[in-house]
Amino acid sequence: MKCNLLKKRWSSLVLIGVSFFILSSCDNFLKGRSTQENTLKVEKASLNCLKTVSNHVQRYLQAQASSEEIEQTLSCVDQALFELQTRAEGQSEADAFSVDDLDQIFSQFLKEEQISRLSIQSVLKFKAALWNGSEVSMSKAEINRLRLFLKTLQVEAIRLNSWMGLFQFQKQDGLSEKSVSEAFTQLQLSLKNILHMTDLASSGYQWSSFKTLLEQLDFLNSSQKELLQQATVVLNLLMDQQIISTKNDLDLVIQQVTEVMRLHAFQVYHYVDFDIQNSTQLNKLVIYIQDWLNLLENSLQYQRTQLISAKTLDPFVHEIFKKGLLPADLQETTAITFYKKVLIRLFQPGLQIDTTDWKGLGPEHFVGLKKEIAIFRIYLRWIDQATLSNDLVMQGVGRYSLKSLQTSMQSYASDRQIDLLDGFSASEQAQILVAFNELRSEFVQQRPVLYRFQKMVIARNQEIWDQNWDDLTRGLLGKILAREWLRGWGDFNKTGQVATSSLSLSQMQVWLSDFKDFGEQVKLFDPRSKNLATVLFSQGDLLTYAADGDNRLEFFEAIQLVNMMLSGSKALDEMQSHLKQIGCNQSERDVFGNFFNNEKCLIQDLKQNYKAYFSNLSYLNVYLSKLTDADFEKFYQSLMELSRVEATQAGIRVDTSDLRAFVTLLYDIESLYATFDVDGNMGFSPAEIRAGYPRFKDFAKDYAYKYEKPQIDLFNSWIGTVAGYSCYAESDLIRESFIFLAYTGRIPEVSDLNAAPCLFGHSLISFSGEVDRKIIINTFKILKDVLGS
Amino acid sequence: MNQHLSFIRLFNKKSDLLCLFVLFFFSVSLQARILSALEVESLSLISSDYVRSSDKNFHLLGLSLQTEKESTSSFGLDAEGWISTNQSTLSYLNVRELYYQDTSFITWAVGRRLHFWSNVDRVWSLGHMQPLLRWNPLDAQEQGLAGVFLSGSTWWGGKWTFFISPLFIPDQGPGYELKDGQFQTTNPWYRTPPQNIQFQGQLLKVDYILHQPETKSIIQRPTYALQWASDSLQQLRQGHFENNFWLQMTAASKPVNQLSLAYRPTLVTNRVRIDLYPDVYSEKILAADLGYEKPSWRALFSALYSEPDGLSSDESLDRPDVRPSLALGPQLSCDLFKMTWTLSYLKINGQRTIDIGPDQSNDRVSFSERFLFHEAAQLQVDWQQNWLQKMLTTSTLAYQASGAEQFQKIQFKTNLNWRGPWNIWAQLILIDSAENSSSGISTYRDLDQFWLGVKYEM
Repeated sequence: MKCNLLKKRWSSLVLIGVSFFILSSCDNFLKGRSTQENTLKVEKASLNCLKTVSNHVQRYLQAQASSEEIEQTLSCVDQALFELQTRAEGQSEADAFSVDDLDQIFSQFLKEEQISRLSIQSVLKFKAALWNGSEVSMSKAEINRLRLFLKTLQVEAIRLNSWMGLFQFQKQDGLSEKSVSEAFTQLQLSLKNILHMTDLASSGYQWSSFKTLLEQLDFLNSSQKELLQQATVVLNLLMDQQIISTKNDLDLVIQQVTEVMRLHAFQVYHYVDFDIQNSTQLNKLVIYIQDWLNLLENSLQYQRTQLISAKTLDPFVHEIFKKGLLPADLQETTAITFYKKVLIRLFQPGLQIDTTDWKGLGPEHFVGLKKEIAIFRIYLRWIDQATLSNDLVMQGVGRYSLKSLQTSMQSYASDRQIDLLDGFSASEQAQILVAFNELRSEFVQQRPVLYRFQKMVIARNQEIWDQNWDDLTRGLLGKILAREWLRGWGDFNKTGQVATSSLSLSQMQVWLSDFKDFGEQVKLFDPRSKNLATVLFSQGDLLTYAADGDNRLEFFEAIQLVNMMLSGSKALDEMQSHLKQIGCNQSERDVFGNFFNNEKCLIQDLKQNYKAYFSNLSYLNVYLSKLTDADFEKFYQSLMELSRVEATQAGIRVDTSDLRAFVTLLYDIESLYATFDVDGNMGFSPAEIRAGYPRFKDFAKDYAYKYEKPQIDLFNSWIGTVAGYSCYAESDLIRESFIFLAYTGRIPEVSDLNAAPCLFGHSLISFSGEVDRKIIINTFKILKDVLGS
Repeated sequence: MNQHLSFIRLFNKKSDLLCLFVLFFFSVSLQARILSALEVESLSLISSDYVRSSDKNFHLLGLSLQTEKESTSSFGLDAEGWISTNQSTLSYLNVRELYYQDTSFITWAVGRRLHFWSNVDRVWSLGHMQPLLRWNPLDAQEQGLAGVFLSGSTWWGGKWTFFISPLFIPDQGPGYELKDGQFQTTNPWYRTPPQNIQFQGQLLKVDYILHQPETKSIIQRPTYALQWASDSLQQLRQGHFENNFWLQMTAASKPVNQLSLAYRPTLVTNRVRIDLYPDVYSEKILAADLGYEKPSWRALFSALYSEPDGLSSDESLDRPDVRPSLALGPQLSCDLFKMTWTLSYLKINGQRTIDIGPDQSNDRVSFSERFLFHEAAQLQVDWQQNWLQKMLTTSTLAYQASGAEQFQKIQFKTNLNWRGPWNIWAQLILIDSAENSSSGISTYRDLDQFWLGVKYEM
């Protein structure tokens, strides 16, 4: 019994011992930390999209986002705002987030976006402008409003999505003019829809603040930043410091901003071309310019101040300059001072040229510009109507005889172009019609400016050259330029009519002074030239059809001179282009930045292509065609000797200035032959020279007095009387000497005079043969000596 | 997890002992025979990885009151109160039973009383029917339902028990301390909720605000329970083995003893404030136990089906998605070598509770998860040993393990009685789980504990 008891006890002890052994061997039990999570993980998949928002916004701005992406992005932002609204609180106010709150939240959850504190302040400022709230905090009620706003934004963003590239003026294929207009109409509507949901109109919020905000958010690429800068310039131009205070103001600004964009797009996508191509294109260009004027005239700045200030206009010109819409080599300062000078000269007569104090575009500029455009359009309408008319005698496709065109012009009822005259006062309409009649008078005269092959026709028989739309329009352009020349720099201010206005040499010098920088930078003027004003003035006063040598440049002279200059430039361009093409260019560049041309190469090219280059000079073509190669070269050398600026380069190379003078000289010679070679035999007879002498009379007299005074005195003395010259006056001697000069290229000596002509009934000097183009060059040598050029 | 639910403090710690003394004198006035004992306990948290609190050793002084089991008194009491000498949050009062009963007409009782409602619920401390004292989460103890108990015999045989109560007393969890929005890590039993939140990849500090509901709104919830048990159960308990089968069935409609916890995280710039909203929801319970007993072995199959009513929480809150569950608990027990060997198994069908709401995540277990584990097996051995007629040791060794949930737990307790007023007892609880275990019990894997206590029965 006792033994059993002991057995049981020992078995219990063993069990306890075994238990403790098992337990003590369970070392693993005594290790291991709690698996309790000390961190509650909350990952809202719906917010993961926030990481892509920035990318999607950029894709949207780069016109790469799909509608689905826009929906996803805005839905994501909405979700984030909802979370902010319902799941977050500000530290100081539960229902509002201060700058500090938002800064901390964004720095934690939108680290990659790197939203700065300044950005947040700007966002809040913008928000305050939108909803008239606090600038230092955002309430939950505002977040709710923002969410509603995003819904509208989403609809409009999708509507605009397909045009985002267009709105940034990116290159796009297949865009029609109509669709571009539709896009900007939609943009205007969408902006209104979006902003009408806000209190922005009454907030006094400035664009500069919004610009700062966009810059701070830093999601714009370089081209978008550039667009932002351009938008700033445009808005300054439209608004200056004017505050938007009503919904109408806001609508006006939206309308005008989208209009600026549309106009710019038209230029970027080449729906307007600053060239003369056809009626549709040119009319579109004119309307385009009118649209700009209307835009500026209706701008908030102009509506409130009657001024588009120079300080807002200059940056705009600067942007145009930066975009390369001005001639490439024009310096910015030149562009900015040049447009001011032109505007002052044309529309502010009597005002001293002081571009630094120029206030800006005022009513006189708008009225003046619109009047000039109206004059141009009335004339252009005649061209359009005449060249589409079945009443005129057609001489080929779209070409009409000069006579029928002149008849048509005579009967053109300019005063019935009501739509073009609409908007002007009665007196302004009268001024427009007078101006048009002045232009008309040039065309209906015996020898109007005619064009062919895009150059002014200079030929004795120019009336046989039928005209098409392009010819007439180029003539019109020259006329308008001449008109503005006289208006701006002549005595238009005194006469009130261009037809009776003229430009003196001193006025020409003023014009040249105004245009010097511009002309040199666009490679029209040779910076080495010392007396360009005199040369141009003499060319107009002596060598145009209408030249009369009266030391004044009148309307028709100005028209013809301008057209000769334009046509000469055209011929020069053609020559230089072809010389480059055939490899005549040398490696060095001249003062114009163009390559010098090898002279031998040039001569060879001229021989082969003069008919193309001088297609408008038909008699010159005939003359040159009859020359042998040697004579052709002699003719060339004579002309080039006269044209060349640097004589040392003879036989080696010619520069742009040499070629321009060469072409101009040919135009001048042809102008003389067209006017005075009455019999059309390609030479001047003494009688023909005498007929043309009046215009050179003063020149000849001055020259004679300067270089032949002893001979003249001798001629007038008793010796002359004794020698049998008494039946001739001094003026006869000078005239005949001028003819002699034309024949020989030198001043006559006593021995060149006929002996005792009065006794034998002879002429003062005997001339044999006629003066052809090769010989007349001699006269131009004298002219050059006199003019010192 | 459930510890988080115990936000409703029914008793003020400072007055715990006072309550106990009131109970004592009340019992005495009813002339009940009360066994009272003074106890001193020492707790050592022996895991080398324990870091919940700076202290690893705690000392408790306790007083327990218990009416004699064989007492014919109509008053029943089983309560204890403990005061920690070095950590006030460890102090607690456990009133398992406190009732008055009468058998003059029908048997009725009023008060808090333990009752055998379901075997699987009791063995595995699921806390479906009766609330639990979860002071020590690895050693939860059942507490009685509080209300009116009626019982009697049915005309077709068997015993019915009906319970009704307008009051609800939920589980009693460990004490906690919430200071400046932070749950303090002073109580080793209390599992502090996360101190950080990782929101969209950003780690932020958490501040808690507990929106304590009105006590009235928690406790004023009716409970109904009805049970029928075959007569054989009573007979078997009394050692009569004429009928070896027994059956009992229970149906109840009651609030869930574990409070649900809805919450709302709110970002406050660089911190997150979590507003906690404890709430009560109800469930309907059907339970059945079928047993077969022989003098030396017993077999039992127990099942409990619970169908929670939907929560009426604000949908803007993160709240538990409570679903029906079915707990199955077969048990086999035999007496061998003077020991009682019991093999139990638990399988709770149904997903672990997750939170639904704005921050729903299917990977995250809800704060309101009721069960420490869903599947486990347990082998328990109980034995007693007399030592030289002067000492009696009563020991229990239980080994619990789950392959599915990758944990194992060993609990050994022995009590040494000198046949006098003195008792010495020791208890060792060891818990281990895999690092990646998804089981709720793995959050306590550092709570390996050794207890040593001395009890003086007065």
